[in-house]
Amino acid sequence: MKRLLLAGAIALLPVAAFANPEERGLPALAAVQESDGQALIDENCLYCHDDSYIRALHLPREEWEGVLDMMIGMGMPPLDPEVQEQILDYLEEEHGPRESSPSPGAGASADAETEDLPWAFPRYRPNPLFWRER
Amino acid sequence: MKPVSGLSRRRFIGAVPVAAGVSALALERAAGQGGGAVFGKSGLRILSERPVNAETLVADLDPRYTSNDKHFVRNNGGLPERALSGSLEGWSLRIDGEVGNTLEFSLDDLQARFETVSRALVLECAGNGRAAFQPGASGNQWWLGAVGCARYTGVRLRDVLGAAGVRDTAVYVAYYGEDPHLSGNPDDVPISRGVPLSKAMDESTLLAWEMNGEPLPPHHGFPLRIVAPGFPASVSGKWLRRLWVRDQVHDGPKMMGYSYRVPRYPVAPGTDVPEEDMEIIGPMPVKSIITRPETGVRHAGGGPLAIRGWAWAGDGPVNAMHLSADFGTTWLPCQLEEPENPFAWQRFEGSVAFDIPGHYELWARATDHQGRQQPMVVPGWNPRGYLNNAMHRIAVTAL
Repeated sequence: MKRLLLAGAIALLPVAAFANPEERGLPALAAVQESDGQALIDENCLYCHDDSYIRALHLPREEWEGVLDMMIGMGMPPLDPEVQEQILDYLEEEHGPRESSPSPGAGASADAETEDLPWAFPRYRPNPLFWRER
Repeated sequence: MKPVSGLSRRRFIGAVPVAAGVSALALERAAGQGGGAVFGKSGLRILSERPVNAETLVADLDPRYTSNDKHFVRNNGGLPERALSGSLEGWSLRIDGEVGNTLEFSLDDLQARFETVSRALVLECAGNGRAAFQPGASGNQWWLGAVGCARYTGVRLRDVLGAAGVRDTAVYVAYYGEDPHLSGNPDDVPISRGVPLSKAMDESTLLAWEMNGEPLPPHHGFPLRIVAPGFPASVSGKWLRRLWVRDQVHDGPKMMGYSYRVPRYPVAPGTDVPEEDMEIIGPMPVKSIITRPETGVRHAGGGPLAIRGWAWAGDGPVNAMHLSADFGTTWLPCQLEEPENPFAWQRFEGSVAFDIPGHYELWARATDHQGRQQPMVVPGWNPRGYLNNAMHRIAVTAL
């Protein structure tokens, strides 16, 4: 928890939260369904950075809250409490802790997440025994 | 000094001051042009737009000098207006703190007073390769391209410090730049790091105003930056305004906590390491990258496949370079050039023959001047995912 609260290099800066588009005289961005966590992520987080920042992490809810605190430290305006809860619900559900350590060949999701990495072209993972023994 | 070329009418990411940047970016997104471009850059993989973070594709690291439009960008705040206007009006560099004389220089002063030097210097983000850590580490998910070698022109930092007269009490040189914090609060500082005095006094540590023969581009610190090669690139402060010589290790933003620090001792992946057990990263470890061919290449003809790339290390030269096409069972030595100057990357070239058609992996392994080699696996998990110098691997299909 502490390391996430204090860490400071992710750039989850919800630009859209500075003010609503109409107040700024701008065209409205894509409509957001209040219940759609992914849409809220798109609107508030992916506005500034890609989703690799989120996909890399699998954290309990309180640590995701720490990540949001960290973003505020970097200049992110605080989220509306209701929106923040919905985002945390989504992150907890979709990017919560994994039940087990990633194991080669065992987790399709882990493979999918590294599919686009340059080093994913080589199909052999180094030292698979390390993970299997854990 | 040549002025920075005029801005295109098209809005570019990071090409507008913080306050105005919000609306410009919003308009761009609303028009369906999001994720487009970073001002002065082309063909980078963009990780974030506020702040701008973008990395070079491996193939674009092949030239000896990474071009200004391809060199990776790691910003922590917004882009100063000066960087875009190219104006030096009101600009100066102040040297203060543990010095005999507080000094203030214009760019002309620096150029006139001290010897100008040009050096090919590698800058690498400490988090380059972070995306490979398991479990994942928070921060920019760099793959392979947060590194580059450009030719910088400037003056030696030690000459400037010498003119100011560094006191015996000095231990650290900290920087402050003009980049605004993304909060918009002028009192907030996005980043202020620095180097130990010994690194500041290194012959290769520069205050640079040119990159590859051009004035520093907007994202690379116009008009003046530190280039402290071999250390994490975050110590090479951009858009400089002040150097503060300190009698203690600098404690500015991104110096403390977990930023650019690793545990003092090896930890199991995922460990929650106490903050007091973290230490500041010094020189970067030995590393190399295959720039030709690209991974996934299909090699026809049955002849040997030519391989080339670059090798570098943070505290001295690379002494040997090897390739393996059989998972490390056997290693083929490569030709390795001497560095053009200290902290320039070194070209390696080799060739591999494939007796049997099929799928292969090529591994590249550099050995530094102290015999230290790149590890096969992602080494030393740490909370923020720094210092991944695992061997670069590419896939080859021999037809």
